[in-house]
Amino acid sequence: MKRKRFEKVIEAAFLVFASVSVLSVIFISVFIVAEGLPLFKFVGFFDFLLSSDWKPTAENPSFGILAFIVGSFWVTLGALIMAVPVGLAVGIFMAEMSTPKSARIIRSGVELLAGIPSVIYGLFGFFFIAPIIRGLFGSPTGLGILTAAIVLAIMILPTIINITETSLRAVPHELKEGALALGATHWQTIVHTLVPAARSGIIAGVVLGIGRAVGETMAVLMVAGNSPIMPKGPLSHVRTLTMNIVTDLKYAGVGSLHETSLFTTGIVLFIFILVTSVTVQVYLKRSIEKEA
Amino acid sequence: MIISEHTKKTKRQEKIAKGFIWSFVVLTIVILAWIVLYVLFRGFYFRNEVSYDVTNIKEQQIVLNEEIEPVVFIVHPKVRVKDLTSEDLSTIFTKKRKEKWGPYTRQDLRVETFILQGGTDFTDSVIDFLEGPEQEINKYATTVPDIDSMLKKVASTRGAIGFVPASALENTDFKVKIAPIRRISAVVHPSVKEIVNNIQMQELSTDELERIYRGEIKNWKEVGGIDLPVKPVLPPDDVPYSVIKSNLLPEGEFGPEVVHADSFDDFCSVMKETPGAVGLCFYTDVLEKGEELSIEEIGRVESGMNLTIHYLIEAPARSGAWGGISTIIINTFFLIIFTLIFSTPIGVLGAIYLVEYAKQGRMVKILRLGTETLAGIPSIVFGLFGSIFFVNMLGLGIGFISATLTVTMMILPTIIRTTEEALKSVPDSFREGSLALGATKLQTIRRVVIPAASPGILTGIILAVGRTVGETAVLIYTLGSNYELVRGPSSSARVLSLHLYNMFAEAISFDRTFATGAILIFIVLLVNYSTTRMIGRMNKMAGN
Repeated sequence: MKRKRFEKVIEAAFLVFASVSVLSVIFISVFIVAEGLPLFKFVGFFDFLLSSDWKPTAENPSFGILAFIVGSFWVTLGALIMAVPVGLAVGIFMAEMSTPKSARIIRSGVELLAGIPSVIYGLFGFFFIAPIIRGLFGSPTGLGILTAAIVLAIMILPTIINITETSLRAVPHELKEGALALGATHWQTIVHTLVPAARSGIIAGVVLGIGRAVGETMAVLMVAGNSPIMPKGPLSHVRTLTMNIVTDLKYAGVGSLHETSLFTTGIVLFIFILVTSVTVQVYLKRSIEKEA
Repeated sequence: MIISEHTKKTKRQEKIAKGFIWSFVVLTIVILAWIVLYVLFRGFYFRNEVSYDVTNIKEQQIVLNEEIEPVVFIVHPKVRVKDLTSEDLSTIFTKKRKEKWGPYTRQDLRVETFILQGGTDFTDSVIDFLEGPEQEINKYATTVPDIDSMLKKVASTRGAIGFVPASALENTDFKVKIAPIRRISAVVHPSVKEIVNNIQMQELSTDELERIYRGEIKNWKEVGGIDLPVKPVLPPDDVPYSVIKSNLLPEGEFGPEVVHADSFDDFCSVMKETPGAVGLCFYTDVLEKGEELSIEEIGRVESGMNLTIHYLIEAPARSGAWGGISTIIINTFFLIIFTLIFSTPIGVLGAIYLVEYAKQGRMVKILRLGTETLAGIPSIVFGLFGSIFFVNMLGLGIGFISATLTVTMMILPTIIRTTEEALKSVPDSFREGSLALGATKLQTIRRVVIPAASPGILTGIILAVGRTVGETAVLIYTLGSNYELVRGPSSSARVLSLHLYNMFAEAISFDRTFATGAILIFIVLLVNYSTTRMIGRMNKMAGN
């Protein structure tokens, strides 16, 4: 009897530990929202989102983050354009075309790519990619949207590769065998049967990649140029939402409207991440259901 | 026939498609290898082009005038000095600006200067050589009575520098290092530095200088200057100027156009009157006759090992510009340990609940969604949260404990997810067998499930270590930037990634930034290797 009660207590304790992450999420969300929302008492909602005038320390301060939203958008889009084809190709290769041994080698390579700290990517981007961009296109510093997009593309590659491979492997064998039996070539099977069947998983991977790209801070901070202006082209210096927080938190006064506005920037970022997270869950669930 | 045409076309398309896939795979591997090798290479090897007011000619023994013996500057063997310019030497002895070896050797080491008792011709000449116009040595230097005690002092005092006559080093048991001195400057006629058509002579390399004197370079435009004939001039043959000649081209293979001056005054007047002239003299001469002789900067390539053992074991100074990163490595280690102390129990026990206890339903779904969302939150948002909540509201301050708690939240999902996978991979038969033997659920989990899942759990912990080491954004506003050893829970500190970023952002030293990066890459490789080994072991266990 005593033993049983003990086990019950332990189970309850485990439940507490299991809820730490959920509680953390709730706590962080509530906190960021509570710290950030008061901004709208002083700054209009649309003035905040749809103006690109960021002068937080001016006498007549204005807090417009449109330029940063646009910056995040372009950088992420650029990264996706480069990373999705490559990621898909490598995923397909690992799941369908390679021997188990070479797949294993590539997998540990991809894991290494995922494990490299973002400051290293930033360093590499600044000292290796930026000079190339400067040489090729003649921009003054070589920093900007294009460089940041290339660095981000490399960084989100592992996410896309991993999920593509996993979801391709999860496609039931009958589908592949059926297609081959109907006379389709291996390639036709991949393109017309396997990839469509694994679509939900692949989309989940891409969305996860978007989440990573939008949330990445240090690497873009080092290679994007960090000018709080509306970007004008692929070589233009850019500041993203994350960069805005990390740059301005340094000199925002404690309790000032400036600091509050950074939390509001955090809310925008947070909502975006929440949306991607839910989307990923939905698509992954769909792909699991399909499997079943 | 039509069918076979069609088949051919399909086959061709397939080949092209697979070719694309192959090239993308190769591209990925190449990018990965390139990033790793690039950072490692620049971390280990540095190569910089630096320009100086003096040439690269090094003198071990310095002839000051005819009356005295050549002088040798000696340093304590631990001073990692390769060579010093006469200007450095003057700065060091008069302590005009710095009192540390940092600017010359990157060591955080006090300079201790020693001079010989005055009154002799030798000492007076050397002091005369060392002192700039208005400086004074005696104020800072320790005076030693004779040559023997000079050798003894320099050999036994850390950071010591002194001087002795050349003959004193011939058979001495004291371990001292000779610091070669560079004191010869190249000077040019002002016409060489004129700007014509947007072209201006920038700097010469040592090699170009030699070729000018050999007569191989006849016009300034060959070395990036304006269209003007080169007129090399050599200083007179008497002491001390004769050493310039013998040091520049020991074989004496001077070109026919080289003008040999009869006296130093002659040298100065030739330099003054000949457009396109280049000459060699001592840096101190230029200081004295500044208007007549304008210095041509000499570029040299400095290269060598970047990530040395010294860098690993010395404590940093001046924001990391001097010294090493020993304290930062230790701080990183502490951060890892304390984060794991908090996050491992929470993560592992939470995962046990999710897999072993929870009824698969709405509850688990919510918990899992929470974990996934937590994993997706950008690290800067954690940083924002930590900097307000832990640092300000709980009053923990920017420091170690705030950073530990914030990072703990951040790496929880990594541990939970891997532990979950590991627990799920333990076959149900294990559990059933244990329960059938009369063990309670808790006993089963403790004695059967966790041991079986331990490689997987360990993998999660190692991955969490990898994440902790790589995180930067979350730490900027929670851990601060003090590069000393962490002293207590609220002591601000720096870890490797943060140090890397700070050195990059403050442009302290790119060589040192890469050296720190190389260490990070090493840690990542180590993490990667051990997880691969762990997973391999896990698969083997599952296979048995």
